[in-house]
This record gives sequence, structure tokens and C-alpha cells, in this order.
Amino acid sequence: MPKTYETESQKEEGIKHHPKNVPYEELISDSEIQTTALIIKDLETARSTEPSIENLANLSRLRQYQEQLTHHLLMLIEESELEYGFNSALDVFLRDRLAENALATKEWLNSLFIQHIADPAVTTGILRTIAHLDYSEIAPQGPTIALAALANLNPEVRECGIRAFENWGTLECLHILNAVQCPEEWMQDYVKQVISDLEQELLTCPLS
Amino acid sequence: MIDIPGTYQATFFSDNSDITPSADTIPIFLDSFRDKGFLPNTFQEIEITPTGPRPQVRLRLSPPDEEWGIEIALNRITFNKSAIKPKGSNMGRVEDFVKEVVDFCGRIQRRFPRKANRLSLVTGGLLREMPEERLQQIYTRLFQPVTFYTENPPVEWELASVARVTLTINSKDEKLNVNTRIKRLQGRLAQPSGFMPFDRIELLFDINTFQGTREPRFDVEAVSDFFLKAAELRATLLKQMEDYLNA
Repeated sequence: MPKTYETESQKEEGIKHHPKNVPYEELISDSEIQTTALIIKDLETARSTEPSIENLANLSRLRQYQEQLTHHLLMLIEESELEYGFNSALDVFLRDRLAENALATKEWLNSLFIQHIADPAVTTGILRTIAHLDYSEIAPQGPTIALAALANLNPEVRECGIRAFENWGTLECLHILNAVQCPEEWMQDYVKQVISDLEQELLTCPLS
Repeated sequence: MIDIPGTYQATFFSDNSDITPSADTIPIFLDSFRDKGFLPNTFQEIEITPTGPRPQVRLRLSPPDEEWGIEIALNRITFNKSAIKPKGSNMGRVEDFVKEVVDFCGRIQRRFPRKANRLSLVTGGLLREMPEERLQQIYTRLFQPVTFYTENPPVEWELASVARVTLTINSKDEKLNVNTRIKRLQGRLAQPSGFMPFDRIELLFDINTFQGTREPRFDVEAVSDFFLKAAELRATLLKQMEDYLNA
């Protein structure tokens, strides 16, 4: 359930989380620690239908990123110039986070994209950033973000979504691009060109 | 009676292994919830398997303000409404929450046909502030403590009760668990200016269909009937709790 409790480790680290979208949070008590710590069980019983403790515990790293590193990430997105073959400060920062906790990092990027959906500077920045990463590194959150971008009203955001799929260049990206319908003629032409290039690259057998 | 709502959660239990964050499903959800501005994102689910916990990435939908969250886990779809304004003032009535949930379930069931094998409605919140004396009165009214706790009134306590009742859901008898939890707790209230400590009573209701009956049987009509009846039952329980605590 959507309620924030501190875990035992957070208590030890002295981390106080600002609860997201909860009007109140309970302070940790000894009984809560005993209930939440390291017990693997399915809570779907007669007494409760709440999701399991493990799923709730997974949020802690994500919250840490959201609360402590979001400002820094947004600054890097704004300042970094992404260029293939060069590791920007943003690349290094994101790869460090991905190495630390890939799932939380990708969910963090996804949540940032949604929170800033009305701010094309941030959304296009996130799209350019994730397009720069390997598909295997950023999937499935990367394609999820780019798919959401394709439904955006802002043509610049949609174009960045298409570019992300173009950069990743996988068969799944080709499948997605085949279904894209753009109201702007120039963008539809661009999609057609990308599809053609990807088909050439992915579906044509090399001559032996 | 509830001063600050904290939890509005409805769950539709079903096999959702076919719904993953993929190019096949995401456009369907974007289309189904376009008018609500819900966008796709993900969450981690740890599946408990005989060989140990297995993390999975699952699809989630939410608007930019995160007031709503729809999480499509392997065996459940959870609909959460969250407090995005101080004191949970955006939460509205539980009766309105369930109507929206019924609408959302229908949108999903139409595009991904399935029946639920279990349903649940969880709601909870904080009662208004009370003086210490009143908090202790409520404790002695609910419990018959041993001498130690009579002499040393507890600062934290919790009482959980589960009754099993039979209700007619969409013309069929259905066994339900009706769970009420009341607890005294200390915490921090989120305010625009920061956090304010509190010491209050929390009341939580979890009304769910019996866990032992797992055949898929709740279609769109049955889902609607369950949630509306669960909200009615919750209102009855809340009134009875209010009368009991104020007597």
C-alpha cells in the first residue's frame, strides 16, 4: 500500500525520507522493524491484501535517487553535450548509477520524464540521454519512455522519441516505428527513412 | 470521522503475465487512458518462486502529478489514489474513488479481456487529534489489558479484527473477509512548511473476497457490484466505529 515506512537500514543510516504523495508517515517502532525486516512472505491472506514487503522495500533506493540526486541529474542533462565516442559527465554519472542499481536508475529516469512531461527541455534532454545508452542497458524503461514520447503533443518531443528508437536500432524498435503515425508530413517522411535504413541494416542478409 | 485520508487502494487479482512493459501493450494503455493523461512507467515486482525471489519489471501507469497509480503486477492490478495535497484534501470520497476504479477496470478488461479471481478494497486514514486522556480512554475501551498495561498505559497499540461474511455479488454468493484495524501511532504529517509530529489513531479497512476461492469469475459487472458494495460496507463499519468510540 502507498504508505511510507522507514526500514531498519534507513534508520541505521539516519536517512529520513520525505514521503512522496502521502499526507503522513509513521515513525519507526520496534514492532514495525520486526514485521518488516527480512521476512519473505506473501501478505495476501485473509487479514490483508497488501503487496509484499519486498516490493515496498524496493522503493527505498529509488527514493534516495529522487530526493538526493535529481537536481544534479537535471543539471547534467542541461549542461552535457552528448556525442558518440565520448564519455560526457552525464554518461559517467548515469553509468555509475546503473552499475549501482540499474532498476532503480531506470525507474528514476522514467519518473522524471513523467513529472516533467510539460517541460520539453527536460523531456527531450532525458530522451537524448537514454538514446545515448545501449538498448540492453536501458530497456525496458527506455523504450517505455520513448513510446510515451511518441504520444506527446509536442513535435520536438515526438521527434526525440523517434530518434531514440533510431539510435537503438533493434528489431523491436523497427516494429514500433512501423506503427508510428505522425500528423506532420516531414516527420512521417523521417520515420519512413529511419524504417528503410533499419530494414536495410537488420533484415538484409549480408552477401557472403 | 476520518480527518486525514491516507490510503485508497483497490486491487483486481488476475493472471497478468501477458501484460508487460512492451511495444505491444504500452500503446494500448496510452490509448485507453489518454483522456486521463496517464503515462507508462515501470515498477519492480519481486516474484516469490520456489527457487527464491525473482525481480521483474512490470508496467505502471500514472499521471504527472502521481495522484493515481495503476500497477500491473503478475497476479494483481492495483489502483492507488494518493494524497498530493496537504491533509489529503484531493482524495475525495471513497464512493467516488471506487466509481473511478470500476471505470479503470472496465477500460483494462475491454482491451485485455480477463476476469478477476479476487477483489479488495483498502481504505485508511487518521482520526482527528485527541488529548492523551482520550487516547487512553479509547485503549481501555477496546482492550482488557493485563495489570502491567493498566498501570503503564501503552503509547502504541493495534487491534485487528477479521470477520467472514457472505454477500451477493452479481447474483452469486461470495464469501468476504472484512478486516478492520485500529491503531495508535506516532508519525510525521507532511505539511507545505515541512513535517509536523503527530500522535493519533489510524483506522484501516480491508474488505476482500475470500482467498480460498480463486477461479476467475469477476467480470465488469461483478467488479462494479463488488466495489460499490464494499464501499457501502465500509461506510457502515466507519459509522459503527464512530458511534462506538464516541459512546
